[in-house]
Amino acid sequence: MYELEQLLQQHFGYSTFRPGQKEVIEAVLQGQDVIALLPTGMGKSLCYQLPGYILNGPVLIISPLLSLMQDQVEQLKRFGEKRVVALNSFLKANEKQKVLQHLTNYRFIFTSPEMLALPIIQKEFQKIQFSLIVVDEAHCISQWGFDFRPDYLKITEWIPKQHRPPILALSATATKEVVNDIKNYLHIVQPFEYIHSVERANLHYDIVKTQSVDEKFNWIIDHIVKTEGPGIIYTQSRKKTVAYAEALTAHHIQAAAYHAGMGALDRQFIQQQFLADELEWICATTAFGMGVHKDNVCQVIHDHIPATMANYMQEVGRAGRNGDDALAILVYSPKDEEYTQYIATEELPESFHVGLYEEYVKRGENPKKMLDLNQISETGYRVLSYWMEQLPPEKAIQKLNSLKQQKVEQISQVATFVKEDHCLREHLVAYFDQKLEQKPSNCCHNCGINYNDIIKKRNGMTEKKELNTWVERLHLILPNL
Amino acid sequence: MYLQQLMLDIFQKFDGQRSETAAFHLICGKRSGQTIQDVGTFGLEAYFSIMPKLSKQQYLEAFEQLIENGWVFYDEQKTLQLTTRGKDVLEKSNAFHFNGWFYRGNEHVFFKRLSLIVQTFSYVKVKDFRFNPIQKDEEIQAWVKYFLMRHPYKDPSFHLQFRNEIENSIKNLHISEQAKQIVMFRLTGFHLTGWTWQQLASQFDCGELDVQFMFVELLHTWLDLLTLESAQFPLLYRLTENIRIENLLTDSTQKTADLFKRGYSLEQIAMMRHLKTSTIEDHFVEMAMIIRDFPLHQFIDEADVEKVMDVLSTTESKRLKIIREQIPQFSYFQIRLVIAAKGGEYNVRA
Repeated sequence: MYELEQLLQQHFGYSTFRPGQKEVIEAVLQGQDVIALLPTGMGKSLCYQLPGYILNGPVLIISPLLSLMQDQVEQLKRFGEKRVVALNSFLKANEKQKVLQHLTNYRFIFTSPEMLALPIIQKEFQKIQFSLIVVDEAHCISQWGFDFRPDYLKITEWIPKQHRPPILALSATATKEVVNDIKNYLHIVQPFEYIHSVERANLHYDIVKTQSVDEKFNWIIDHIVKTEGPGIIYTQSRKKTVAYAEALTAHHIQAAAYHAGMGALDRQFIQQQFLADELEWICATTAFGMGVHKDNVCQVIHDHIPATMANYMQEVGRAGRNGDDALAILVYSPKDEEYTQYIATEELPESFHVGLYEEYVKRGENPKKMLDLNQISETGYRVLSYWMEQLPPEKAIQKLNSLKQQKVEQISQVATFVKEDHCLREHLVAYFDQKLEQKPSNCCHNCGINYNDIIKKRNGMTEKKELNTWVERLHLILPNL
Repeated sequence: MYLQQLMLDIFQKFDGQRSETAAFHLICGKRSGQTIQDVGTFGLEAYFSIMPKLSKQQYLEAFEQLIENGWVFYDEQKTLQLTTRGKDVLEKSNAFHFNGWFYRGNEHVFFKRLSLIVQTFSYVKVKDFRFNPIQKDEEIQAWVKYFLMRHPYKDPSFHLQFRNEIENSIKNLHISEQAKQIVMFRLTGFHLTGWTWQQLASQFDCGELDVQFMFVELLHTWLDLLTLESAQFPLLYRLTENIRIENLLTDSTQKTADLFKRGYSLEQIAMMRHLKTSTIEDHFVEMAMIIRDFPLHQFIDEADVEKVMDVLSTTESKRLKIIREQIPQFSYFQIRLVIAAKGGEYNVRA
């Protein structure tokens, strides 16, 4: 018999498990399918990392985001694991070939849904006896799977129905509905379920209503100037991230923009600056956060109505990981709901796209031409072509309409939350089908909240620092003996 | 602003004979016969491929800014010219030090190696061996690992030796302090993370592209120095391995050159490669430009070369059509070959 705690110490240097980890790992080791809902930053990855050292055969981890995958591979490498690989589109053809030839040499194989859709990968994978299949961020199957990530729906196609390895589905936040979707699409029957409470007693929720976009912007800047970070502002456009960063920098606050349009190295710089407390505020689109483990974030500000409650939960969940009190403020103005609706649905195909697609097929042409002619966005085409392959045209139109309806519905759920006049905490917990045991003081906007009890006031103004000369900088990085 | 000064310099050298699009292809390093030939004709080696990722939109915005500033205009003959103010701006700006022809983007590989090595030293110093590498590219990581294994990378005096090489080589570069700062702030050390382009741009109150061009320019001069003074900077010189492009021919031209060396004629090569004769002609022009002992006389007599050269040095225009009108006995191809092979010489004579 192995002692789990001993292995934990040996491979990862921790002496005790965090809540939920041991239960999940034990179920995995018994060969059960498992659905584990653990909050971000609570060591979800350990639930497959540790079994990797006990089970025979490689562990396959399917991960929706390349950056997240990269992060996890590096984490394992830092723990001294060499038999780990990420099989993704970054690999050059010859590298991919090499990896595929030696699959069984690896302990951990990470891959993306897109890769799994390739016949060559499926063929090679079918030859391998995996000891465990992990679906990370499994809520994507439901939340995005229906539309934006159709590939996620196909990830189990290649897995043999008989004698398949156990599946571990991991997620941070999911409603009952989503958990059901996960079970259906992954063909999981009678899994062991571990569901961590979404309640975070040290998070305090405020909602601020403003009359205009300008007022909203000014309120946020003013608030940040008066209080202390570190914190994250979540906004909806790349332009806005830069606008916030510049306004804060003008007040000599260490702030920077972060969005998916920046180069990979620049995004790394921002993440690392933030982790090292060289930056106090990040002004980001929702691209920021996955795989960023910073414990001392004490404020998260939204300047918009998020597209889903799950998004909101994930984003505010990045505050207060160290257990200290933290503040989540959502600032909104009248037209915000419509704007989020516009953004969330603009890329969805319309019924006339279905007609166009049909015409191309009838003429014997590749409907992909729609992309070249700018008749549809890339995401839109991905969704459209998936459903056109699955359904007859009338049904596809229905499907697309219902997708749109779903999105609108999800946004209005967030809007209802924002306009709630009872306890926000109760509302949140109930949304995820759980019960609230007890309320902390300074609970939320509606129960009463006093910022000064939660976060610190800023102590005087930070001075603008003189920039080091190039020689100074060089000597700072590579100091004397 | 920096990009615009750079464009002024290119347009000045084009002398009204190419459009702004040609300059865009030049900066991006388009591997086409026309662009490669422009490099030779107008002596624009420095700018070839200095910003392969430049988007057309960014470029056009910069160009419109030039027009708005009244620095360039299209005259009645629809040729692109610098205004007096444009010439003035160009004269007052510092000389550029790009050397794109020989690096073509490889300068970034050099910098990636450097930054990972510097980061390693900085973390090794505080005994942190599990840091998050700032360079994710596995090829770079493997190269650096190989380098470190062959040097006493845990030895603080080695770090100092490395730092001295950086300091003493950069000190000698005739380039702005700002560019030196930019390069140092793109490096990462323990609790000293690198800065993004946006952060640098807002610090120096200029555009992100300007910062990126200054960065590339510094790397080019730095690499030139390290190549020239390799004995003085042995460690950094090792980092320049396979950075400078030795074989300057583009891939397709290289194939043509191989067949030519084996004795096949232009027409035979076109047949064998299933390519148009005009494409193979482009290859030959590129070869004439780059290969030192290109047998020009196989295509045009020695005496005729002189005739063409005379016309080239007396004609202001570099437009082929205008040149050929004066020497209709030669084909376009022959004239292009002479321009390519003798480009430098007649420029000097003129």
